[in-house]
Amino acid sequence: MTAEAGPLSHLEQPLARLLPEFLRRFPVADTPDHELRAARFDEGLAFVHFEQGFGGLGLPASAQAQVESVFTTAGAASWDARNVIGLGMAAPTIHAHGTAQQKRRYLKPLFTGAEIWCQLFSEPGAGSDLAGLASRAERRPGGWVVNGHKVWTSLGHVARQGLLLARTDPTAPKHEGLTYFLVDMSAPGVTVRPLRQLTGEAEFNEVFLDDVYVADECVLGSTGNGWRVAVTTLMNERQSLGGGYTERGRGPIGQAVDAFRKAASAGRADPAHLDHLMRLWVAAEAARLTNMRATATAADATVGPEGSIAKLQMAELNKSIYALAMELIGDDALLYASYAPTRPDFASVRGGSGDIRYDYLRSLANSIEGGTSEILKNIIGERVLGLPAEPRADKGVPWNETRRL
Amino acid sequence: MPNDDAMQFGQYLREFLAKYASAAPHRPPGSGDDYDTDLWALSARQLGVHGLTIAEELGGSGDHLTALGVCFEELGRALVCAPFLSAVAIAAPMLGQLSPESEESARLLRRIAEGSAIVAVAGLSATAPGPALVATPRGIDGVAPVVVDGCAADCLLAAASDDRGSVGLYLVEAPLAGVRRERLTAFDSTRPLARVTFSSAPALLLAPDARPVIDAGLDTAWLLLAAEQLGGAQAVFDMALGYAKTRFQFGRPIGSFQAVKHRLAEMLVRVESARSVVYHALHESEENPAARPVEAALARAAAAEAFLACATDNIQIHGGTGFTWEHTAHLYLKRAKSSALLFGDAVLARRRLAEHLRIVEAAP
Repeated sequence: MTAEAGPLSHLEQPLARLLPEFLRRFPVADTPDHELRAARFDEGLAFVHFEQGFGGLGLPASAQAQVESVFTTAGAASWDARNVIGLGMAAPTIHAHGTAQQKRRYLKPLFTGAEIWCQLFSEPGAGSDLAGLASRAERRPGGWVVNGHKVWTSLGHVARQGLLLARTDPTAPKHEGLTYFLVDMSAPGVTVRPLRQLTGEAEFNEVFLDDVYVADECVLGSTGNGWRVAVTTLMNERQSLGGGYTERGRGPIGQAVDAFRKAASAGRADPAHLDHLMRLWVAAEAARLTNMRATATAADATVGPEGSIAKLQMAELNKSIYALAMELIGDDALLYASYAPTRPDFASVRGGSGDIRYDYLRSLANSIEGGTSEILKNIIGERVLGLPAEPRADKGVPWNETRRL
Repeated sequence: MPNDDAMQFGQYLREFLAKYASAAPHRPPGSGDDYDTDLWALSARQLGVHGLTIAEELGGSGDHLTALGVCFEELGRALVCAPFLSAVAIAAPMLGQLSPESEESARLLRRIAEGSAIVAVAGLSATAPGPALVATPRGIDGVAPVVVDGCAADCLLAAASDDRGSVGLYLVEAPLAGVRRERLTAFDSTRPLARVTFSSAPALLLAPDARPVIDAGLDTAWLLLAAEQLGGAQAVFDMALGYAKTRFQFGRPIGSFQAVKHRLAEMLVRVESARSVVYHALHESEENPAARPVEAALARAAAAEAFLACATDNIQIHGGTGFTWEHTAHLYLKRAKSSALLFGDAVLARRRLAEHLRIVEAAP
């Protein structure tokens, strides 16, 4: 389970045969990125743990990291930040719940980067209690009309497709009245506006849905079954947010070590800083190894609540690491590069921008986005440890009779 | 992850210890023997724990360090009171380094494997600059203020410096002439300690210039102690989780309250993190001995703190019951705290790690 070794040296069959052959036919340096990714999809080397014909080979989930590592080493561009929701969340959800027709329609352009995805889940009145959301989808011939207001929509301004969770039956208890839709973000009635964050930039958006028509073939899963589909998305979100560095000492902890070295050479480092740094180094390494162990033991393509452990660790670690790094950069920590509003077309969830002041501020969202640390601890307590749930005031109550806001 | 054989053996040992414990609770000895003599003999002869990593030609089974690590995990989980740490985790690996050249070391290893020798180690310190014991032509002199399993031992390995300042590893054998041993009241009564005074004690030099042997031995001790701590952490976590599901207050199991549930979720993360690090460290140390100092320091730092935090939280979750003498929670807490300080604490481990990773220069 050491990922440090050379990427082609210990591949599982049939990858040991297929990957070198693929790279001979499509040399990374001479193949345009779009073509390379289209070819990867056609050959089953896009999501190797998916079914054959839908970008996969039916291999164990652990094989995917090996494939990514081979292409990264060969110099292929990464789409992880540019299409983080498409690759990390939309793909596994569509693969798990989609019809064959839906998988054919969506998975390939998602993988090639032709279609960027966003997620229309959170609302001003539904954050941690996502299942209490109020966006309404009403029946029309051949489809649905949606009205609502969504927030925290990363990449909404560049996305072509959206994962939408909306209420189709307000008289049912909250979890039972939801339906999951795949929405064309260029459809009439979709308005995307920047939502400026405390970092100064508008990485997120708010999305207004005004009488947006969504056809029946864009329902993922069945009507009223949206929560079950959404749980797949959320678990994959946590897995992909928590997933991370395959090499020891990389990522945020590497930035903090660099900052410590600079501080030490400038005579600004205290032994207390070193002990604090090494405490975080050990925790970061433990989190990395736990991730690797979870991936290695994952038998199939489904993601369980264990992803919550990885996500919880990543969030709390990043906050602590960047808080320490701020202490190590001296007077630079009193300044900021620019608070001018910008709209990046990539999602920089894990920091690593190179600017510790920005990364520190951005890390504060880590324990909120994709499930707050408090919600994740509930999930670990209830789904992993089998502890009883807190009594809920809205349990079994029709959604339109519950108190909200 | 340890291989299937190691995991199966661990499972077998766990079941054995659980069954054994219900027949003869291995609580700290209030009187009489310093350790659980029956368990010690059974483990050596029937289970072969003692000789697990000792070479086959010396009566052991020549297995991997990971396999022994899985055993220490189980010994830690069951809070076994027997001199495994001294004889099997520290003495045997040091002697294993010497045995190809040293007939005496090979002979002693044979006895450890069959369970007929309890070897304790004196003069070891990860923190002090050198051993407090000195070697003269008349024998070993000096005081080892805290020796794990010092009273139970029938022979002692002593790290002592000679008049040239070179540290050697010496063997003091039965009848331990010139050695005075005083039983101490140990903070952790499941790990007996003794003050050992050497007065021209006749000794056999096993290895001159033994610093590398001792350092490698301490790294192995850190690794196996980390495995033991992992087992302890798992035990107290299981205990806390079980209690939170069955203890009712305000008409609900206390584990349904977020304040308790979140503490348990954090404990799970600590245990699983420690497990990942310990298994990885054992495996890497086996595959690549050059990586051992880094891996040992990493495992030490991760497991010591995980066990201590979980043992502390376990008492909190048990409330007043957890503070009683009758409950086992305090035995695990005392084991956790004293194990975290034995042979150098986590601060030292983190400092070593920083040096090995070249984040700072090694202290001269």
